This record gives sequence, structure tokens and C-alpha cells, in this order.
Amino acid sequence: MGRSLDFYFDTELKFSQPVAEHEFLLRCLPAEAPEQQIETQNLTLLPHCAVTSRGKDAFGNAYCAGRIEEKHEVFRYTLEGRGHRDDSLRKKSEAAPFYLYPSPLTQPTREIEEFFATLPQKDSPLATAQLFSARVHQHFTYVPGHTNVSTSAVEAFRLGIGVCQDYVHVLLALCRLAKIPARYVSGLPIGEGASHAWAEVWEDGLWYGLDPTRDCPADESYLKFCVGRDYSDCPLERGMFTGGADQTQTVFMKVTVV
Amino acid sequence: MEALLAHKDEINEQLARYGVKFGIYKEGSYNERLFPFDPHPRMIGAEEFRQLEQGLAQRVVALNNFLYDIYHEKKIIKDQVVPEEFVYRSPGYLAQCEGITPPHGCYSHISGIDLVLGKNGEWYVLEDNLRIPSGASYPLIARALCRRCSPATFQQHRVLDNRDYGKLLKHTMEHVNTGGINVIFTPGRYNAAYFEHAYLAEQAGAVLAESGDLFVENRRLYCRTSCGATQVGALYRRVSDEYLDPLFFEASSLIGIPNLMDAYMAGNVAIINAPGNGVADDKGIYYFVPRMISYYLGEEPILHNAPTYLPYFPEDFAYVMSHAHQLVIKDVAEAGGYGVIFGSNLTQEELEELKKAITAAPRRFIAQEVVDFQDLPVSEGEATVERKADLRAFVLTAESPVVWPSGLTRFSRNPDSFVVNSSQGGGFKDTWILCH
Repeated sequence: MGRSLDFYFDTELKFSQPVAEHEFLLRCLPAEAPEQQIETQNLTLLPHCAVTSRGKDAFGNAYCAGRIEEKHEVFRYTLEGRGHRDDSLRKKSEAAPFYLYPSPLTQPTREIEEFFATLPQKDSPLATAQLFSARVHQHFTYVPGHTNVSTSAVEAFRLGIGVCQDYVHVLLALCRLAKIPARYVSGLPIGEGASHAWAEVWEDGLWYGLDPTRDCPADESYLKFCVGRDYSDCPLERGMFTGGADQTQTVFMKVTVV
Repeated sequence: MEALLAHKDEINEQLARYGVKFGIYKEGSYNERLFPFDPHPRMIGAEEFRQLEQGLAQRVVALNNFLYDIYHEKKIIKDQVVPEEFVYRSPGYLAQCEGITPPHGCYSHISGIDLVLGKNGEWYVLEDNLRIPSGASYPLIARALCRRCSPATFQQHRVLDNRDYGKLLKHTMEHVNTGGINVIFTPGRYNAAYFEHAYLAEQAGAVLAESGDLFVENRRLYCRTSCGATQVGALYRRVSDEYLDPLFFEASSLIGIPNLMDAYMAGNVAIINAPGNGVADDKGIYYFVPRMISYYLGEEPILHNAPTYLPYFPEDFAYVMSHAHQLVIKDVAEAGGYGVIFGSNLTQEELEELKKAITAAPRRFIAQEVVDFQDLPVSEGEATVERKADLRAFVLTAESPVVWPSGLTRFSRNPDSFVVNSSQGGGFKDTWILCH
């Protein structure tokens, strides 16, 4: 059962003038779990750095950290590989308790609490979360450019417009109000375009993927990178450098069923 | 003593020249001001200090055990001694630190414990400061200046020497150093405590560095020194957790060190104090410290908390509702003494508003009995007046906790005020631990 996925993820950062002493942290590495076995993966960086380090953060995400000392105008990272997704192989585990509590970008306010109060609760956490996901989908209109990576759930909720990350943050805030452990997931769904974000909710030892942006379950056609309480715990890339440059980001990804 | 008191102005001028100041945030704007010194010392007898030492060491050991437990097995939550939500809703709890074990398992290398002496002669702990407790440099430099102005005073009074703070600090850093130099990491000279950072670096023989001097490569922290890039084994950072590493914490931080957490998680540098300590000095967690001592150490707490109520618990809630007018109510989300409300200062309507706020979010508040604490003499012009004063004791932990035989005594300038937090105005005194 399950399906094999070929994945390709490429990001290019172009700087308007040379930067140096560039320190970076990448989390765009496929998560390894019973339900997501990675057969091959290859991360290449440009400019090539002699030394990078691999580590694991407190949320269990693999990361790659490094430093580019010399001047450069482009930073590019490309991930390619093949993985096998099979949700029937999931293993039961405890949810970390912090997934039950508000995080920096998912603090509920009165508006979200009032919205929450209008939503019915089903007999199971998963069914409740599915309903919340559908309602979040209805609440939002998908329009890029009005929110950014630091927009909180409540700010996005007020606007009523946003991108996947905003949908997920509001869904997480609602699930946690309902005392359902919930977390943010970054990764790549089958198709082409940009990276995506969805939510996972915990019921009886297992995590279930929900995609409020598309109003569907996030199942075996989603390749997982990293998880956190909200976006700020697990951005795919962060960097700091010296040089007063503007940067332009170009992202391309492609996931196909083998 | 008269000789010493006569030098008050001279000592304050010297302090101003050294830049002994600190900053206050008030109504959204930031101001620096001098920290007025009063030459009347607080005196603590040898036997009393021995008691304090034992109590403080016990408290710091328990708090350190708590921090290890919270970021690992969480036994104290599972055993229902501390309710889960007090931990995970605490602004000082950092999920990013889950599972990380700092070198030697030491979280709070430098602890600042705030106490007051009740009129009944008992010391009460008001607050634990386990993040970046500042203020040791004030009594340290004041003592040096006092000794210079009035050497005779220190011949007549047998006072324990406090000038070994630098040595203690150095030993604390050496103990956890993972290989490399000791660095004091300052946000820079515009920081109000810059004097302290520079002074302590000098006293402890550490290198004073800013973020531009420090970088991480291959999971190691380096400092650019006159001898080139040198590895850092212990980093006494005076930058708060959220700004420490812009790649792991607050992305907008310009005063942090990118990928410092990567080096830390690899075990290649000790961070003093460990990131994530804020969960243990949270105002809500404070209530549980005596229980922590019994839970982890199987001992009776030697030092008492001020009598505290948690409206979160129904029986405490009822008490707080009926006694709010005589209690001090603290908002656990706020630091620096701004969220401290004295029920007795409120009008009937304000009191009702407060009760409503507590009813709406009981976990956000703690309530305490007003401790009637002892006044200390303070010179004001030619006269000597009595003012409320507290004591910040510094506990430095290497192999085991050591209480520095001195401390920062802060006093309130306002005769009616019980708030001695330095960010609310007020001055400081030296603290003398007597040899007898």
C-alpha cells in the first residue's frame, strides 16, 4: 500500500548586492517516520560550503546549518529524492503537551473565542477538527500578499484573507481551544508550485493531516518536512548575513507519484 | 560609620563617572538614570547569613532540578505537583529547549533571589530571578569606593570581603566551559547595564564581546579577538532568550548570534544562564517552589515564600475574592513590577474591575499578603529616614551553589511604597555580611 513520491524542491535567493558571513538554517529536509520512508535524498547548496552541520531540533525536525564566509549574490538550495508514504504504517505516540497550548502565532483573542463558540463539537477530536477545518476554509479567501510570515492567527482571521499558513494558524488556535493537540506542518503536496503548509491533529496516539486551505485531508499525497507549534517554530529557511541587500526569492517544487 | 556617611556625595559622583546607571521603561519611552547609592549598609550577622546560605542553596538546587525535569521527563507534572498549564502557558517556557541538556546539567549558574526581612525577623523570598539577574556589580564597586574613601570604617567593622565576586564568576564559567575562552556577551554599550557587563568581564578575566564579534561555524562558537578567531567554551550572555539566536528564536533580532543554538545543542558551548530558565522564575511557578523543594529534595523548605494564593485553585480564589482589598495582586505575564497592584490603593470600582479580571482569567494572577517588612535607615540630606528595602542575594553554582557574601540591597525612595524594584525608582546600598 501507500505510494512512492519523487520530490524536487528548489529555492533561489538573489541579493541586490553581494552579501557575506551568511549564516543559514534549513529545515527543508524530509521527515523520517514509519509512514514516510526516505529512499534517497540529496541537498545541494550554492555557493558550495565546505562545512555544514546536521542536527535535530526540539520538535524532532532534521535541520542543516551552515555558514558562507565569502561574498556571494545568490544562495540556492535544491533538494531531490524519493520517498514512500504509507499512513497504515503510522506508530502510536504521545503528543508533546505544548501542542495543546497557544503558541506565539496562535494566541486566541476574543474574536477567535467567539468564532469558536459558534462551532459545534463532534464526538471525536478528529471529526471536530475536520469540521473546524471546513469552517476555516469557508472563512478565508485565498489571496497572497496581504499577510506575511509573522502574521498571527488573529490578524489573519480579522482580514479574512491569507495564504495556507494563515488558514493553518487559525485552525490550530481553534483545535487548541477545543483541547485537541494540534501542530503545524510544512512540506510539499503532489503537484508543482510552491511549498505548502497544513495541520495535524492528534487522536488516540496518531496524528492526522488536515489541509484547511484545500479543505481536504492531508494524506499520503503530502510529503512532510517539519513540524512545530506554528510557523515560527519551523520555517524552511532562515538566514542572517552582512551587507545591506534586498533579496528576491524564487521557489519551485514538484512532487510526482512514481 | 560617620566617616563613611560623610563621603556619600563623593561616592555617588564616582559612580556617575563610572557610568553606574540603569534604564527604565516608563509609558513606552526608555530613560537611563543614575542608581543613587546610600552609604548606610545593610548588615547581616554571621549566624543569620549561615541560615540564609542554607536556604538559598536549597532553593537554587530545587529550581535547577525543576528546570531539568520540565525540559526532560516532566515528572513533577505527571505527579500532579505542578499543574501542566502553569508550565506551558508561562511566557518563559521555551519549547525550543525541550530535550536539551546543558553542560553538567546546570541551568541556573547565576541566580538572583529577592528577599525581604519581615518585622518578625523572618526572611521571605519574593521572587527568583534565573534568567539574567543583574546588579552584582553595584555593591561590588560601591564597596571598592567605600573602602577607598573610608578605610578606617572597614578596620572598625569586621565585614566579609565581597571582592571575590569576579573569582566566583570565573570559577562558575570555568566549571561548565566546554573548551575555549570565557566570554561575556553584551547587547552593546547602549544597553543600560553595559557598565556591569564591562566591569564583570574585567573582574572575571573574561572577554567582553558583542554580536558582531561572535560567530558560529561547524557547530562551534568563535570570538574574533586580537589573536584571530578563538573558540568560546562558556558564554555568559546578557542578551535575553528571545534575542539570543535569530535563526532559532525571534527572527528580527539584530543583537543575537545566528546558529548559537546549533552549537549549544551539539554540546560545544555552555550558555550562562541556560535558555528556557524563565519557566522557573515565572510569578505563577513561584507558588510551587516550596513544594518543589519537598518533591525533589525530600526536605522542608528553609526559606519561606511570602504567603501566596493562586486564584486558579478554588479555595484560594474564594479567599482572594473576599480579601482583595488587603492583598498584593500580581499579573504573572508582566515583569519589572508594573503588573503589581496593591488592593488597598484601589477604589471600590477598581477593586470590582480587578475581581472581574481575576474571575475571567484566574491563572493570570497570583495574590500575596503584604509582608510588613523592616525599614532600613537612609540618608536624605542631613537627616536619616526609614525606608522599605529588599535584598537580592546572588547564588553562583558550579559544583554546588555558593552564596556570595554580599548582595544588592535596594530601597524605595517613596516613604509609603513597598515596591523596591529598581525599575520603579529608588536606590541601593551595600550589603555587609559580618564576621560575627
